[in-house]
Amino acid sequence: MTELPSPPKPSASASAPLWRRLLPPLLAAALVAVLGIALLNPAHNATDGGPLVGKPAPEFTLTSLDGTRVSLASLRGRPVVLNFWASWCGPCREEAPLFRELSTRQSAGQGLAVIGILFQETNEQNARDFIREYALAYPSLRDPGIQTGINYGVSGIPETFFIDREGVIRHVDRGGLTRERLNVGLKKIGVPEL
Amino acid sequence: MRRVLLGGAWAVGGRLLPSALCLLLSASLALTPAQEARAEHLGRNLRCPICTGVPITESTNDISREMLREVREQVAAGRSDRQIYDYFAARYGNFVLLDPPKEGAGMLLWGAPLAALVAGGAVLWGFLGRRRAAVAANPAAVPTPDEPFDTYLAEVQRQTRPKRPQREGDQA
Amino acid sequence: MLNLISFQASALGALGQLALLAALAFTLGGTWLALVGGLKADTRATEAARRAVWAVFALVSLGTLTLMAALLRDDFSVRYVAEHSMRASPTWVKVTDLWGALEGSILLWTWLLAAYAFILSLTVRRDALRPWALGAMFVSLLFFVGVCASIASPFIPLARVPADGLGPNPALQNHWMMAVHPVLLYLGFVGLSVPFAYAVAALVTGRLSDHWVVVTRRWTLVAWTFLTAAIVAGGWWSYETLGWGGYWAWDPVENASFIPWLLTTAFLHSVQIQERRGLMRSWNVWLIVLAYASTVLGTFLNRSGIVQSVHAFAGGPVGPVFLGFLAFLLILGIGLAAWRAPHLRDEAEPPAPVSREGAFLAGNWLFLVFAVMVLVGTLFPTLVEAVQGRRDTSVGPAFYNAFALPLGLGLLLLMGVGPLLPWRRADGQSFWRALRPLLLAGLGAALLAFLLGVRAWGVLGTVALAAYNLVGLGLLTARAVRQRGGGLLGLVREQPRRYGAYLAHVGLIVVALGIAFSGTYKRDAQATLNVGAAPVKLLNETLALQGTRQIVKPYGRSTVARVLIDGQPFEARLNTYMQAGETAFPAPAVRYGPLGDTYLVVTAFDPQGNWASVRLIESPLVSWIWWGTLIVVLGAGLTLVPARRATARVPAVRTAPATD
Repeated sequence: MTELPSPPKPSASASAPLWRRLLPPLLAAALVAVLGIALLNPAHNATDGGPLVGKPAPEFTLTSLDGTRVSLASLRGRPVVLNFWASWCGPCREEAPLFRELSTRQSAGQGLAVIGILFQETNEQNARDFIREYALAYPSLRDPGIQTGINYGVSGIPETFFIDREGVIRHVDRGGLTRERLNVGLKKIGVPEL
Repeated sequence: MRRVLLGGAWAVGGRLLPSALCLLLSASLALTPAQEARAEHLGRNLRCPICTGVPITESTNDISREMLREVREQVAAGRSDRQIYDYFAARYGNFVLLDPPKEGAGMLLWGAPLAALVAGGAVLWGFLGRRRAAVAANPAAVPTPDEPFDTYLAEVQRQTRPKRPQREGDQA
Repeated sequence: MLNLISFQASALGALGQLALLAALAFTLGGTWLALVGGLKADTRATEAARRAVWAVFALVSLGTLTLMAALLRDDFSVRYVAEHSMRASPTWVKVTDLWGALEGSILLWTWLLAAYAFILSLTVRRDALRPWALGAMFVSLLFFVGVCASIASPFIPLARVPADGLGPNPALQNHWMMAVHPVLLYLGFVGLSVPFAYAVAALVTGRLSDHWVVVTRRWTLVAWTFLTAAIVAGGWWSYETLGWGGYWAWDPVENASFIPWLLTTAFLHSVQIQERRGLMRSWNVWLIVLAYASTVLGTFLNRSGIVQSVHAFAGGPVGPVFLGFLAFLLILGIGLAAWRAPHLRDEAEPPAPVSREGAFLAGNWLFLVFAVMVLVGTLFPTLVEAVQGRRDTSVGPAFYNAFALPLGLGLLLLMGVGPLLPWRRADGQSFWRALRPLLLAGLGAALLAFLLGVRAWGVLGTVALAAYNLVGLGLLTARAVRQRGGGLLGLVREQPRRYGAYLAHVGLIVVALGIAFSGTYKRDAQATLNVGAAPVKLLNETLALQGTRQIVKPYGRSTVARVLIDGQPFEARLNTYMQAGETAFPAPAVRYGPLGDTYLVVTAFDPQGNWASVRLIESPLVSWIWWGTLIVVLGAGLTLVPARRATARVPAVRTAPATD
């Protein structure tokens, strides 16, 4: 090292103000706190919420597997439970008995309507078998080009939308439903709990 | 949470035939080269909603392909970039915007590097400025070039002077 | 209570676990001894702590070897082997399984840390800093050995020994870089713990020993070299296996390895100011502390699963533990630095703005802004999530590139100025005179590139700055050769540090050109090819599918498409692995060329073998990134070579070694 006889240093930095000394550890503590919150309350695992909650449900007119056309507009005035599913999806299979139970609660007029929309179904026969196996008494609609899936922001299945009588999405549930999670959604659209 | 995601980030999908067909279909919409470039740019900034941080142009699953088709259709229909981003954000949330909007909380994001640049520049300027203050207060303290503070430099100066003016030499 | 050992269940497992527990005992003892040695200035305690390091290293080595033996012998009574390996894997995959999953990767980390501690214990001098440097090393060891021996132990007994293991993560069997990139990265990350230990010692004692600068610089340079090689090796791995023709996606975990690189690069420059002028002492300590903290942050992000990343290990119990260590290191390390760094006073007044110091400090400024930018971009989604309670933000390449481009160009600009300027201060006039040929070369190169059709301003800027840097380094070297006489080789032998640095700069320029051209002019196109059909024109090539075939291996299968591109055969594959069902992992066929690569990926196959969908990517100068990095690494290695004694012609070099 080329140490040199240097002039006495201006002693300005010898005693930095307290706030300047405290600032870096405080910033570090804030960083750790944020990471801690993110680690211990992982919001990205949330199964509900989303940008569509509180917004009017996107319109669709689709054809069901048995050939009837169903549009959301025709269901206006009824609470609607809209379930995106496919036959190849395991969790869909697990929640199917709940949907079977729910489908018995449908009634015309002002009553509940349940709609299934097939999401990237690869084999329609499998879907038909699935419907028969779980005796699902509601229409399941084909969604060519995933147009409706994209409109609802579906990124994985099962995903279930709870739409109220005014046609507004009140609740979204991602992942396999349980009775409790189904009831949370039903309550928000004014349907008696299961 | 149990949920079926459709193919991983880099997975090339188990359903092969539909992929190939869609590929051909998506190519059918004719765009001008400028529109094509715009669609590509937009696609690069839209996140595949079911992958880990991959834009829809880089993932081969069906939903990315359909989103890309949607982008191309909207580009062909003459919608603005902003309208197209808003279209997807309204459905999937801001989560799909890989080019975060410069508004709201996004201002914090975009402002942070600029703030760091300005703050760092100010600190650096202040630090280098201390020398000027010291020079002004105590001119004798500044080593003059004659001072043998650095034998190496002095040697280099001595060596290089005869040739032609050097930067090092110019210091003297 | 965790059941850690069962002698009946597994002999190897019990041996490994015992080794790790014994290592933990020695680590605890060593920490205590180092503390006593430091507080009471007791050299006998310090010496004992030093020997405890040897025991820890030996025992952790035993644990690591045990796990490796268990992997190679398919001993599924060891939990880690049962969960992450299988009989059918080829031997190289079994070896890499050691760091292919969470527990093993922590064990490898621990082993490297113990190895570095061992080297430190052999080289650390007998002075006041010694107990504290050993103590800081022991604190890191305590955490990693503790985690390894308890919650993340690979040796926790299994209830039932399976007949075969579950096998490794399929993505990690897909390319041999798995054997290289993680090890290099850990060597880089862990290597920074040694300069950190010296920094802590300097902070605790409030002084710097004579050789502090030399030692920290060397250790940081070693770690930096590994880190550089590791980052680029990771990019190459991504290029070779992910099938998108890119190498850097600003993924959170990639970013986490880049932040320490930026901070250590800043340190390697500013430490020279301290070496030459005795300035920036507290600043340099700060940079080391921040660089080490950023490696721990990166490890935490990688292992906690709080960021979305292709690299992240699944969460698990280690997340909170790593958070605790991160909190401890960040708050205590930064607190210590904030409190004690002002005691490391500088001996001279601040440098002049137009001087080499000034250029280095301006570089530091840009490096830090760069690091802040990457850090903010990486953590912003997590921050929004913590505040809003919902994950609703993504930060993609658009953000990073918007800043990385101007910052990178700014750094290239300063890179040319630095070597040109003398220490202390330069007068403006002569500085401009020296800069003029460089600027002219830059302008000329940019003009030439413009005439050749380059329009992207980022590329024009990179070309201009590349020419400017090369002319600058060339002029400096040519002048030195002319003055000294006797050829370049003798000059390099006399001043390996200076010319090593020049070489590293040349390598960085090559890398920068590679990034600029491949990032801007990458083109891709897709097509579906039928076997035996007429060739398809794609980009500038004609493609014809000759045929497809299947290769079945015990651990999976490959579907291979043989495609003729302009008459040359390419074999691109889709691999599937037992653990991942039908999910296909692409293995692109790449033809490397000095001016550009031709890159072919298969995206889909006809099950009957009649057609294949392919993506063809052409990107110019990609290879320059890999070759440039090799030059950087060679240059960095050269700076570590001791200088040969100078000839009598330039005696001054001897009196001021290790200056440039």
